[in-house]
Amino acid sequence: MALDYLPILAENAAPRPPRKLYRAPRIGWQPLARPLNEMRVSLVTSAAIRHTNQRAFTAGGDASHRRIAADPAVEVTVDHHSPVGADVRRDAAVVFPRRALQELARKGVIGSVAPAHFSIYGGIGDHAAITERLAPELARKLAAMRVDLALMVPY
Amino acid sequence: MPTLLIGTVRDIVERVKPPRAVCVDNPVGRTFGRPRASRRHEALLAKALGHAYGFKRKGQIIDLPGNWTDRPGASWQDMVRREILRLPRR
Repeated sequence: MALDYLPILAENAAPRPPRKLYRAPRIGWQPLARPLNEMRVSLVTSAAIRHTNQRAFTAGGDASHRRIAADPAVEVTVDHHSPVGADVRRDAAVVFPRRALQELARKGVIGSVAPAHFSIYGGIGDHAAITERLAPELARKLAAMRVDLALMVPY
Repeated sequence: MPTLLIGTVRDIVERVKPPRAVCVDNPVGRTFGRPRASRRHEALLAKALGHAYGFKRKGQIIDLPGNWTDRPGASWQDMVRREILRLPRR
């Protein structure tokens, strides 16, 4: 049964008002250009995942991103401070399924996996930083890798 | 860049309205299931990807059953509520 999160988040925020959700002025849409078994796919997560040799994310509005190797053997760590984070720290694949994506490419379900995936730290309050800098930069980098579909996995 | 969102927090996704969204009935922060269950992760990811062409209008949400198995006497809904509110586990 689907859980309603907004009442829980409001209860958690009280007595402060709940966080306002951003509503985009319009719903973006880009058509899919090729069949799934020909698509190059990349993951984008907001779980603040990074490689251990990369600069750590900081909580509270960090609008930077990290490029993550598609090879699941390359280790990652999780900077997100969410209270639901015990499982993702045990296995980042619960929100960042690099190995599963690789297997689907091997089996021909998708065309290929992009050479890299991306990670950000969710909960960025400054939407101009997202719409004017972060999102266009990620879109440019994904396009440069000839990605056909970006799988967005919020955390 | 075409996107497909795969998420869990349906009531928030309804408000944010991404172009294409698959909502999985799994606990937040565990979209693809329990840790170290790679075959289950793969099966769920394949199902979600299989819906990529199933969107009839922008902003549509397609619901997907979860793969989370509760431990006896503890629903994941209760577990998540306790985690977010930092209440003791049952």
